[in-house]
Amino acid sequence: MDRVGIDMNFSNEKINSNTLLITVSEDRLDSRSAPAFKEYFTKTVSKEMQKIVLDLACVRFMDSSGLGALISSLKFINNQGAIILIGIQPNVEGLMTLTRMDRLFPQYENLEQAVAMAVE
Amino acid sequence: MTLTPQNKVKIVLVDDELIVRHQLKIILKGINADLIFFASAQEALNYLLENNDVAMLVTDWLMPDMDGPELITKVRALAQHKYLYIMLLTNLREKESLVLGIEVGADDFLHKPIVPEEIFAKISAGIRLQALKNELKERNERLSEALTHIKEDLQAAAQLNATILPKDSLAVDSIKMSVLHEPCEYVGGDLYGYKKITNDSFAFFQIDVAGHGIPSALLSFSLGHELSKAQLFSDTIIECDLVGIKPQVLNVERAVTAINKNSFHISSDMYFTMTYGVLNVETGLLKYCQAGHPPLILFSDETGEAETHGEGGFPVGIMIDADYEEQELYMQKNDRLFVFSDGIPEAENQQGEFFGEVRLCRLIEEGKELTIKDLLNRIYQQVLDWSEDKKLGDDITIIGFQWTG
Repeated sequence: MDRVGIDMNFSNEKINSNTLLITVSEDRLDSRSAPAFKEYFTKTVSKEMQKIVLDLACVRFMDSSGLGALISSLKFINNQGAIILIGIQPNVEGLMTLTRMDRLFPQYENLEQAVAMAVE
Repeated sequence: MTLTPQNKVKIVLVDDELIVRHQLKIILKGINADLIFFASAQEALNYLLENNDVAMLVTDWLMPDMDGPELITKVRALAQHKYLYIMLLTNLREKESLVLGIEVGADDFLHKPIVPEEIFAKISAGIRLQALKNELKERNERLSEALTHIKEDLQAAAQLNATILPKDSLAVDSIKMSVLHEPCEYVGGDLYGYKKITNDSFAFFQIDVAGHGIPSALLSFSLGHELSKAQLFSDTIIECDLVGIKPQVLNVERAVTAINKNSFHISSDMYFTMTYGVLNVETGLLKYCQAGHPPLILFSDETGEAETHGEGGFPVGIMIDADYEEQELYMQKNDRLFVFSDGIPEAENQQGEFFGEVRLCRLIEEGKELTIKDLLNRIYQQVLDWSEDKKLGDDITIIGFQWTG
């Protein structure tokens, strides 16, 4: 049985005073891993963090539950900040476009570009 | 653990020597159990055949008619419901004998010559162990009973859920329609509906609540109830102010906008995708609003090609002020239209490859001679085959109809 939240692969690194990088090392963000991601996000992200850069380079597949976790993360940081996605794979990009979520989650190719955006 | 008289256990003891039986009787005098003594293995076996409430068997190894290991073998072969705790009384101490004893099914050994303290302690321990086992067994039975109840409830819920869904086929006027709806668990988060809302307008929708299982199904159920009560939200899209002029269908995205406003109070991570469409059965003009739902597939009778349509849109229940857009396409006579949930393209094979929309389009093209109903069944079968022995991870719904013009 999968022990959700215990052996899931998420990590974070503080980039600067208001920017946090969260890396998802799961290949799927779906109904199995989404609850763990949500929990990780709310535990890791403090209120003063305004820019969250989310590295999804490992995520090969995201379903509606995974998207739900991203949306509730965005609701968690409320209007004070942004979640910026980097390393998006084609499958995930398709879902973001289909659901117009690309308008809520800015996307950049890499961390440098995302940070540059974050500083602006 | 203290044993109350009601659950006093029964112990069968077998020894051909009267003196040993007598010794055991004295040693176990104060023990909280019913002791039933036999002088031969056969008598003990007969008793065990007729009584399945015995908790423990203590048997001597060396006996004239049938020895201890043979008795144990026969007792184990009875395959009673209850596990009998068996102790073998022996003065054999070689490794081989002990191994044989364990192999035939003994749980422990009592040594001869008899040491009263050892006998009393080991049998007491055996009784405790049996009591714990019985408790565990009862708990398991209660759990499986509870699980059965839950499953029955789910089945009842599934039946109730089915009552709010319209029939899975329809042939009226110029529409021949079929629906395939398969929740991956008892109840699912997929929902569909259709209705003729004016003389020339046929409305349909498909909804997929994010996630699956009971929370999604509950939301889906209440949405289905709301939508059918509100006549598929036709009030918001039909203008019939002017007497004598036939009702006009306005922009269909108004229906989705209304549903979005109504659904916004739902908890923060519950949302759904939907496609809402209205076909003008006189002209073949299809107006639709695609709210995060997979694209439509239009099969052209003329070219024999199936293509996806739709630019996407926001899902419902995420943003209260989300803008929804109306899109249009024209159906030609005998064209077919398909609306499906993401359970189809996202079905995965063993290699992690997705079924995808392209494969679905090819199936629709290959099945142009089939009735819609047969085609949908073929698609479902192909999706199942694609997933091989992997269980489908999501609900599957596909609506298909042919407009005969």
